[in-house]
Amino acid sequence: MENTSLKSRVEDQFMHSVFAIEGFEQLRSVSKDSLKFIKLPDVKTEDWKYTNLHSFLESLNPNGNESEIQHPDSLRPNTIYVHNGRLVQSNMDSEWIEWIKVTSIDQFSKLASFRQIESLSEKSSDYFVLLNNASFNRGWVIYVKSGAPDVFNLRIEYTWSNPSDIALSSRNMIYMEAGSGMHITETHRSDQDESKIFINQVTECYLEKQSELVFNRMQELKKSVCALTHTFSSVAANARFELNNVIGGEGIIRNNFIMNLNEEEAYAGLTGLNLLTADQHADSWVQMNHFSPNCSSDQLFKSIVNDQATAVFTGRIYVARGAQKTNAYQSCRSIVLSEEAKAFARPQLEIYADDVKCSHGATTGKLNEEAIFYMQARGISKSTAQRLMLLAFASDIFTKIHDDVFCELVEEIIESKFSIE
Amino acid sequence: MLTIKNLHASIEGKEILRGLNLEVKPGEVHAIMGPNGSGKSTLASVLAGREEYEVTKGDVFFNGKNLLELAPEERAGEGVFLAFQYPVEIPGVSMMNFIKTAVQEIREYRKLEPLDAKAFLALVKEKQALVELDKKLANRSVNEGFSGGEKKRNEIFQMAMLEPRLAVLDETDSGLDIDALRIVANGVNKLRSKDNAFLVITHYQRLLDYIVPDYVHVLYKGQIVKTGDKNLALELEEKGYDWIKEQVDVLS
Repeated sequence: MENTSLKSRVEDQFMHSVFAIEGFEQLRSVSKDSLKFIKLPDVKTEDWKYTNLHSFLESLNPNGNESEIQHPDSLRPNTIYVHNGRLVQSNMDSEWIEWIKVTSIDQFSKLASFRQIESLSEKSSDYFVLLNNASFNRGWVIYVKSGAPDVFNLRIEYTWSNPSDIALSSRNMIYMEAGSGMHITETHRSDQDESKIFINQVTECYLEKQSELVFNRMQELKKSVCALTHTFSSVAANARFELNNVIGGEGIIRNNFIMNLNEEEAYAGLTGLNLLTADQHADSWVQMNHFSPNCSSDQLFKSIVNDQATAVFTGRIYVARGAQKTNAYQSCRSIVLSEEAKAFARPQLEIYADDVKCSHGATTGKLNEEAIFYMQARGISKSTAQRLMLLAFASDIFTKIHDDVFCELVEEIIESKFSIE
Repeated sequence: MLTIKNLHASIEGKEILRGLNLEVKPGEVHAIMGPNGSGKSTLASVLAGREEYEVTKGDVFFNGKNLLELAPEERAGEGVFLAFQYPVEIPGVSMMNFIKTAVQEIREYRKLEPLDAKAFLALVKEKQALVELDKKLANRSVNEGFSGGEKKRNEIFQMAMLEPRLAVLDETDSGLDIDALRIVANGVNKLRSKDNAFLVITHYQRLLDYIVPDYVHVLYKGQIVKTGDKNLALELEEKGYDWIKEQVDVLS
């Protein structure tokens, strides 16, 4: 019964400042009804076996107050600024305004093309997605037109901070017209740790034919923040979607990735690099859906886990009946640096076609001590040797990121989080 | 340069070295021979500072410093180099990055200015030529996919780059064909000088045809039981170790 009361408390916290947003009326009402029949997941729920949000949710005590939007001190070109999930400012070079539209989610209906698409989150039966559907009141929409002279590089800078506890649902959408291209670098930072923030974020990515989206995301949050994200994508014929997610920082993170390869020759690449220390907890959950023939997907998740931290990976490849000539690969590798660090991997394949290539592999191990001694014997200090080994471990993620600045950020995180002695 | 006194060392509670004494002076080449299990590789490991080995008794002084108190990287800084019997593959760490880091950290330890990129590359080129190491290997991960011979040549290349005062070659000849052996030995011979010394650990006399030692020691049951010149190696090649074992076992 305790669960029921926590559930209603959570829903009250999210629902208290909901307002109607044109274009989502039906999604809201249907999801609100569905919520009644779905229980708040706990560790007995198979997909939540290793991640317990209850203690965080129980300790959350929002008083309804929310800070004013914080404006950035200075503006960088082609960057959008988001505070607590709200779009604060969009600073686009004038030459790009014709090709890229950015609005906050409540202006969604002004971008007419969205009206024809079926919402990816509508069919979800995930409790928190439904909760988001029913309650989101912030977020952004990015619309990329075809015909732009070049691939657009966009930065999205998130900050999270509030004087009192807060639970919030944000909703983001990316729409890529046929043949368009974009590289996103999204960074999440929190700069306070007095009050708690519970983030429930849904991001939907719609890729039309032959479009290309590279999405690099970095989550560097404080211990006071619990982030739950759901990234949906719908990938059309000959389109490519690459998502690279890096977790540094602290706190509890659960990232769900739901990728739908809907038409032939679609590609989805998904990498995760989890850099975990102290009592950090990062759970990555993947549903890679091959709905059409001749599509390919590639998942690579790597974790470096120290202290009492925990890394969890659940990756399911689903190949629908008739999705022949599917190529689907998955690999999960973890290094545990301490006795108490934990890494869980659950690869899952669900295949209903008979002419496919699918593979999965999971390894968990320690750093090669022989290699460290070898380097020491060459005059390299133990800490440098360990750093070189960890950078080497992460190196195949770097090759997928296509962004030197982002790679440098990742290197810095590795160096600062895992420096020893 | 190197003074080992009454050295006792064990691994997992099993005593391997049982009172080893050895004195090495600059400019000398010492060969250590001995049957399997006599403690040859243990000696190399203890000198390099491998953690699994516990020194239970005795001293090792290197140029006046107590070597046993130093971390492996500090020993390398002082000028001790171990050429591994089984060089380690390190996927993802490029050979260039590895050797550059090693050179710079050792220079820092020796309070020398770091080498600039140009000087470093020139040094690499020179030393690669010395051991006839394929330049392409520099772009690969450390030892990854190297043949047995390439790995051993790579050890000598690293030795040449780091300019040690004392180089310990742990069965560098094992797994080498005769051509590779000659190349490795030539590399060592070119690096010999009046200031540095070599400790060559080997099973076979073959290597000593190319690297001519000043002293040959026979290690047995964790002690040096016989010392001679290069002719001792020839005698061992001919007669095996049994006659030495018998002498020692009778005495004890």
